[in-house]
Amino acid sequence: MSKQKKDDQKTVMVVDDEKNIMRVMQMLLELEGYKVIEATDGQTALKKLRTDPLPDLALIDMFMPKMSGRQLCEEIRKDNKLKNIKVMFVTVADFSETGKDILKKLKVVDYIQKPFNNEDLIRRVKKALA
Amino acid sequence: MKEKSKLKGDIKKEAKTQAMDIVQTIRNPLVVLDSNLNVTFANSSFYQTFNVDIKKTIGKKIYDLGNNQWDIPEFRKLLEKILPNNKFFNDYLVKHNFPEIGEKIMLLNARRLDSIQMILLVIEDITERKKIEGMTTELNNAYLTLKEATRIKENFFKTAAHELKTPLTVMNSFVQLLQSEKIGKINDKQKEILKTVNNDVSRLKDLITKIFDLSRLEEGKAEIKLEQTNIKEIIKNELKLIKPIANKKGIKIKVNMQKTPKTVKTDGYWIRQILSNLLNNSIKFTKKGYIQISSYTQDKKIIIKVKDTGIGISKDNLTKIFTKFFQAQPTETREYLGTGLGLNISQQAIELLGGKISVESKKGKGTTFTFTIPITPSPQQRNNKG
Repeated sequence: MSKQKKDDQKTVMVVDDEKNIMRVMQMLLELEGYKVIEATDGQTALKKLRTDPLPDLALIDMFMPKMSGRQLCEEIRKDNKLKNIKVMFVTVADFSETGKDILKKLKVVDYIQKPFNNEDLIRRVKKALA
Repeated sequence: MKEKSKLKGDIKKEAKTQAMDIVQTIRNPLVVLDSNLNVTFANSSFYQTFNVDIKKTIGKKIYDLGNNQWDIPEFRKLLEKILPNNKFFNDYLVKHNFPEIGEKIMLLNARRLDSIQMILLVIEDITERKKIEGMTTELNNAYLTLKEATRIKENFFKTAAHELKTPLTVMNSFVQLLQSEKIGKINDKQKEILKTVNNDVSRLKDLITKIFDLSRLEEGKAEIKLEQTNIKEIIKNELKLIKPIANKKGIKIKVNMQKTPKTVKTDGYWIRQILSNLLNNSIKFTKKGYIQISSYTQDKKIIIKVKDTGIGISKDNLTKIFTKFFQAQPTETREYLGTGLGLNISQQAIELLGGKISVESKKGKGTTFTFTIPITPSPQQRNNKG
């Protein structure tokens, strides 16, 4: 199933409070050979990032209870050890609403709108990791 | 001696006249009372403001003025209780309903002039000011209520968008995943079923997007994010999306974008929505022939034409097609699916960007939609940021 060799296998963290979204993203990413780290909220994500090996990319949902994706990203950028992690937003928001300047400010590499096209998601993930 | 005292008297008299002249210029009503609280003097502002007769004022007890209208409990308190113990008292608020002149709100400034055993009362009439303050408070409260209602509505839309799009994302991606056969082979019957589900998911996706676009436009909440936008790129991408349908129907797609600038300062989101609506309409209502999209620059505007050789629109319907929910086809027997929102959204969005849309059509021959987008947005567009 894995398309990548174990030693150069890339790790992608998915942060989303919706269980089913998490399931589908995990399946899609694993089918492409990525290792997936799950976090169902911002606090858990930060904890994992601070203790476990860093992922190559973090796919973050924007609307989450307690800590929004934006807040999580701000925390990541503030932390010296985490600040260089590549972040991509996966969100229901369209960015004419949320403002593209936020993306720039938070150094977000890309964003994809839900509902997304599976192939489009994978293409963007590959591009972000290239 | 006599002359000296006469001179003294003259000087005193002159000084008094001067003092009275000065007092008359004071805009606030002013009254002088003797120790028995009888009026010895009042300025013209006092007479005007309280509509009292000069003849019935001088020498009268202050409480008796205007048929006892001035017998106000707070007044008595100030003059009989407070002033005997204090040399002066400022900004004493009195609210009183005068039978003749209506309610007055006054600030009283009183001063005991002990050397001449008199009391000076300066009255500030703040009735109008209080009224305006009251109205301002009311307006302010109304504004706050409205603001809160808007906030609740916005939150509702945000939550609704999230709640609608989340399950749709799951359905959409799982169906696509099954269709891709990456997790197992599927037979033809299953393929057909998944295709139907996928189409209906797309319809729901389209409807949700349109409802949110429309609500943003109608609330005047639609933001314009002016950015250097590559219109050619957007056209190419939108064409890519309709290409599979065009291929299937055997419809040719013609493109001419030669005289189009590389980038235009406008809002890419709305340009995409407009083009998506127009192109999807064209492909939907065209059975054979072609769809042609062309763009060029004229008079500081980009002109974009979407032409098709479709079923066309009758003259009667031509004026109605931009109306919300209008469908040119009869509802019961309708052959083409749709929300009746796309053209209305497109028109509103184009106007938001400072452009115009028009349509030409011949029944059975085809339709051409033409819209303009200013190359340099007007200050109005620049300021319209929600």
